[in-house]
Amino acid sequence: MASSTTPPVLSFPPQTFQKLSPSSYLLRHLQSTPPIRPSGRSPNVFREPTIHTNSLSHAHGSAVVRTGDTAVVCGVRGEILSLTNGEGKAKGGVVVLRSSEDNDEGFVGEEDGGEGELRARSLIVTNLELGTGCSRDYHPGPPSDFAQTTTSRLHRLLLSTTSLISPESLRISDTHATEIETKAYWVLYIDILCISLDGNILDTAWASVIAALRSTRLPRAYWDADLEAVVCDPDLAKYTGLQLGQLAFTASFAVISGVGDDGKSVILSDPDEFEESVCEESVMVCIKEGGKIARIEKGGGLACGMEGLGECVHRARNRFDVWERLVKSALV
Amino acid sequence: MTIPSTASLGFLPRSDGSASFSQGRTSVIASVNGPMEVRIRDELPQEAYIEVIVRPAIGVTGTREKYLESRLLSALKPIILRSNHPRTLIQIVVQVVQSAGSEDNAITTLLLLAPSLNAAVLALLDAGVPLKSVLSATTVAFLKGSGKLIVEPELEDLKKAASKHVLAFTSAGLLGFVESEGEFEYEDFERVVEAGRNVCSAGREGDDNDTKMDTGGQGVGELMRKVVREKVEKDLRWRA
Amino acid sequence: MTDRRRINGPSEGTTPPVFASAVVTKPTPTRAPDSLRKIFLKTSLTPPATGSAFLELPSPAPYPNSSTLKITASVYGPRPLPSSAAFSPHARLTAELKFAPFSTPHKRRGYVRDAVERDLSVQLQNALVKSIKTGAYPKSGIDVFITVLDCEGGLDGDDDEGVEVGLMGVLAGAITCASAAVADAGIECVDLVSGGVAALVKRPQNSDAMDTDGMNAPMLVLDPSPADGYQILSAAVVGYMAGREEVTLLWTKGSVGILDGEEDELDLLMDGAIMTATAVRLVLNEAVKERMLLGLARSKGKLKEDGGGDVAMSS
Repeated sequence: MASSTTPPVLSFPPQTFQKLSPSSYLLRHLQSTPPIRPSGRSPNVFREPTIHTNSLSHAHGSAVVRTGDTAVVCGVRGEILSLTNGEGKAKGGVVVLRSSEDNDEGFVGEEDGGEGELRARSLIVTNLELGTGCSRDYHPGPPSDFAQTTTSRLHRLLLSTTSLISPESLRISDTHATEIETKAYWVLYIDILCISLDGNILDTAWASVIAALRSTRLPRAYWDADLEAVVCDPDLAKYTGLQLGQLAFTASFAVISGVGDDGKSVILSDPDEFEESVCEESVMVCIKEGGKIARIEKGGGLACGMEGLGECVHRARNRFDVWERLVKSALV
Repeated sequence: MTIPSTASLGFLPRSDGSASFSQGRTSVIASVNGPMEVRIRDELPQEAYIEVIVRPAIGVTGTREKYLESRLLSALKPIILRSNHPRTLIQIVVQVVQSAGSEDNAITTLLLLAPSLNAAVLALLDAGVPLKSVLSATTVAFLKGSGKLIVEPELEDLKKAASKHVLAFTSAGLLGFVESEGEFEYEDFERVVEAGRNVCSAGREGDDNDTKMDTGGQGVGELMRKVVREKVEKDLRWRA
Repeated sequence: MTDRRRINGPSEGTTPPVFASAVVTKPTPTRAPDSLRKIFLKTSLTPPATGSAFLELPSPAPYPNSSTLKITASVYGPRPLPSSAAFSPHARLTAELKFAPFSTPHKRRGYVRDAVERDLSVQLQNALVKSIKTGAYPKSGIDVFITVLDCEGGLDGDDDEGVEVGLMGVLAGAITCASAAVADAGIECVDLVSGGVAALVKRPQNSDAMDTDGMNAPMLVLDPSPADGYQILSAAVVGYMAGREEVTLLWTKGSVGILDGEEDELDLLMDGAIMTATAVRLVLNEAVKERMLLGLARSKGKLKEDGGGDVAMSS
């Protein structure tokens, strides 16, 4: 095709290039030196989060967490599950027996962190709602598969990975009786509403759950033998916070391969919506207090090997410090 | 006492591919259909749309099954050569036959992952879906105190474990999938991965018997290889 | 029935906490009847949306611990209607209003849309649609999503004694917030809509007006809040386009229209609600202006940045 005049180079504004060929748009950015992401961040940089707690008037605890353009509101509300009337009565008897056994054998907190009791009674109800107009991909109505999966991941993190809430702290007992008997439970409804979604909902939602639980204050509830019902003390000074276990925070990563000529892969911390749509491989690391690893999830590709996972764990530990400082300063 | 893992292939005559896999007391059946017509809203212009459906042993699909589906999909998607069948659907259905415990908790869910993954991979092979590599998965428990590793543990072992890991490797030994939970250091995790790699990557011709694990049986990678080999031999009997 | 797509609470059901000595002390109104609360309104807080806004109405000054109203709105569009939709020469506007599960007092709300939410959605849609130049966007859809994060209560409990204005406050806030979000989205409008509430209340016993004109005559209160503690006889909410002096929505509650002397109560209520809406409009104007100036500043900066910033597509 020898022509005397060279045709002009086909050139697009960046936005068009991004839409036409998203993966090469991301690759071109990462191939520059130093590698830079379309958002202007370096591959290992997370977005700066902000936390505000207790801004809702009808929730027992709440938090608003924003990282970049992803923002969520989490509200915690306590309601009472009575074991003494209706259907609960028969079931209640069984559980009371088991929970006293559990205490003798040190079952609770040792083997499953109280997960059995929390799950059997559905004492923790976590739900993530994306149908709020937070992004053009999610519409009001029944939750999408993605919302259900994320809800399930958050629920698992809460109940089994971190065992943040012990069932003892939710029991409401008859303290006057000679034998302590659980009469009712607090049920914690943890509702997370996403108001703006730009990738990595898990980290932000999880931080909002932690912050909201830390800010939760429940009224003092006691068993009134005369009324045969659980009654709460309206005295605001007697509201108490929840007894929570060790803090844990998650860090999510997206992995893209084929950046260099040798097919080198790059790990992107805290991916945004665009990066999540391009990168198929993802890694999530959850770090507990003291730098111990509580959870690793990896899937979607083969590029990230042990070396890559090590790097993710390292970055997740740094991220833990950021969240920890922020959450602790959010509640003074 | 451990129950050896078993696998079988191609027993559902009406699906393109099927396989069952049982590990310990967990047992699942997977069936694969496709490439076939795809719903218009799912259609992808350049590759096949992969769908994973998990059906529980009892009850109806809930958020837990959705979670399993997304995890299985994330492991299976990268090994399927999707661009070979653009604008089609490859559907993988995993039916749980028996799960290790009656309770719906994190451990029983974890125990479902590896057998489901193995069954799905075998069913994909049986259906003749082009794959980049073959993945095999296993569960490893890391015991408190002693630091002992148990490969393919029972429910009781997992309850006592400090951390529990589901790992999947390609036959070349590349790490394809991780789901680890508990409390552990990175060094422990490295040991766990090494142990997992040993059972998962299929032994090479000739050293089949050297890779015997303390579970008493053969590694899961070798088992899958054996099942497929037997199936192929049976199918090609007429040529002999 | 349990929702299979969500994590459900105990099947036995739970009850909100019951307090020992539920001392219901209805506060005595101390706020001047014609005083309006300060509104916080900010646009573009949901960047993925075409346009968005956040509105916050603080609790009335004398009761610092009572509840607030917090609403977010996001707008998507104009975007093409699905190919299955029939031809429409105008843009099709849909509005969806949802209460967050933790937004209401006492009982937690479920996720499934209920009749109240559907009703408010329709009213909101009616209030907004007249302000948008729908003819400019044929074959398109404009979707408005409203989430009520926190509300003041007073949602139900209408009885012979009086009516509650909580829902009206929510609707008025939603109208203002949605209109700001529509403007933020850059959708062509003929005017902005603001919402306003007014109520006729039973004159408190210690009122100064008692000995002057008619002790039984109801009193007009602008921007009433359920926290005020008035016994509300009737209330009205309007959607009002102050620029064109047009009312796009009117909703009244309670018994109105009884002629008392020469004054028509309905006129009184409407005038009050319009007065509130006109005041709210000033806040709305400010928020939209702020957004516009920011947009101008940004586009200037961007022009400089983008100079020669094209990426050659060489792959």
